Amino acid sequence: MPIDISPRQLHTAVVFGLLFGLGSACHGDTENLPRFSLRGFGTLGGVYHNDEGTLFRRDIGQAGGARRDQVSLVQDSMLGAQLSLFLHEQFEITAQAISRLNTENNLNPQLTWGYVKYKPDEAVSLRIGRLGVDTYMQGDSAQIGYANLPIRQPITFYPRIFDGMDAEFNHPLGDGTLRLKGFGGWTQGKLIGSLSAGAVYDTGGSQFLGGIVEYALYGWTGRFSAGQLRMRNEIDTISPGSPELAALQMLPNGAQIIDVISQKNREINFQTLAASYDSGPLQGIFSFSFLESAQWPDRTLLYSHVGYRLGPVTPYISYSSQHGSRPFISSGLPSGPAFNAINQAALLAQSGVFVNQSDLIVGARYDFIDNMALKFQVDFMRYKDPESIIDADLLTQSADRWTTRSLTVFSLALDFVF
Amino acid sequence: MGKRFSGTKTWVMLLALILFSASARPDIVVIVNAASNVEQLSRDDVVNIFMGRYRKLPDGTSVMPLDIKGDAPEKKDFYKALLDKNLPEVNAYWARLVFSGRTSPPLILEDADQVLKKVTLDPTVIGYTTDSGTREGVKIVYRLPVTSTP
Repeated sequence: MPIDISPRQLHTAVVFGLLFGLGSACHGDTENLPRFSLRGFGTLGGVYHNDEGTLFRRDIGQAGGARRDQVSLVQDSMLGAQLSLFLHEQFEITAQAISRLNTENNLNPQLTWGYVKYKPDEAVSLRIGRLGVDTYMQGDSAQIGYANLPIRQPITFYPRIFDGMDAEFNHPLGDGTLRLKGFGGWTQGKLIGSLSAGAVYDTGGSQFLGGIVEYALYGWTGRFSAGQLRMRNEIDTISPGSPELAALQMLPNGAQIIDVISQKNREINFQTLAASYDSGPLQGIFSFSFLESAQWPDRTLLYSHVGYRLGPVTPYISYSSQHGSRPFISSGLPSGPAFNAINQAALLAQSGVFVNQSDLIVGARYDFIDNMALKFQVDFMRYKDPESIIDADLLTQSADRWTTRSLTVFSLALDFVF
Repeated sequence: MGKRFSGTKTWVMLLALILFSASARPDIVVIVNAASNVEQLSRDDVVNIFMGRYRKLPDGTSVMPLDIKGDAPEKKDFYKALLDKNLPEVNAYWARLVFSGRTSPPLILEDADQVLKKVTLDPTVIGYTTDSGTREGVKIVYRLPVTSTP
């Protein structure tokens, strides 16, 4: 009986097969280091909300979202595998792939990590290859549900992986440990904005440079990170030859509007100051980021959570927000029925640059068995300029008159590692 | 009356003895090979080594920490006494570090006997065990009192 398998399914099978096959092919231990390690992680999660016309997405890397009155299992569910080969005490090769809902609306696995690590000394390590973006605390483990307290980490507008290198230096300082890290490369990954009607923006090849200073003392960790992202590609709507670009160029203020929404060669600078505490039953994070780019309103990002363990259950509360002003540029055409449609389109084109979204989360994690945790949380989200939420109703109103809306999302997730 | 008081006293002492024996657990001791130059570690040293922050002894020697598979009582006691953390929290911590490629977890051995044997033979490792008498070939460099049941 022939097996009907699509190229995508074959791709999925090949990636995971290679990871597990390579793992099985290696045997034995070195003196104090195994020759290899094969680990996995995953989440089986469901989300529910009852807002008509609204799609809830885990992040802006997903094409589809959870609809009203449907329990969606695809937003948070994922499966990942990681294979590390320890060639020598100083050399390691690691590959990690994750299968989750992506911008193509399928679950094809993506190589999220793939690097060679050279660690000549306990204090120094260098990695070259595909790496995770580590600009905010725990950002490089955003998809590892078991490692995190809330079901989802805050949404970032930039991709979570890049191809390049990072270098790290660790050393005791006083009673604590100092960690310095520098990274550079080119981002990888595709995004879909809330207002882009499904249009995919490819962040591939954007220059990414930055550094981190971190100091850990007892249960406290303080951290400052700064960096710059220089976007490589233009968004489709104003790519050369597009009808939208031609229409904007005809407007009196079209050139200014194009400057605002253009992504090509755009430099985005960011700084993050963060502190975390993890000692005994109490754990928490507070992170504040500032982001600026020419012609864009400055944006602030706040992220915090705190949890307290009570036996096997850890209740937690979290708050995150992204906020910026909304300095719309008018089309330059007079107002009036004859120009309403054009004027509104010009405002809508700019609204994709603005982000005003917050999320208050109340939830609990239940560690009921080794390496498995069950989580339940309720997200009370508020937005005027959504980053991840797709709200079709917004498109029926002029963007400069949008008011703050709310969305409540119920989530249940089973996180595991193996 | 005096006899009755004496009986009550006996019961109280017996109860105290039972409670004491239920909660009295041997200390956890951190051990290195007897040939090591290091005589004592601080709590921060032990945290740095076992939690993957910085795996060097104060004399500059690199060490690989050893851990015990599963949820052995010694393991529960060790992390409870060192960090006031239970094992799921420790596992979540390691999931964060391992899946972001920062560092590898301690080398896992089957049981406390294997840890003791490995430390006895290998000067490049560090382990922990219960403080239950004299042990040849190893040196105690840190002591963690276990004050309550995990």
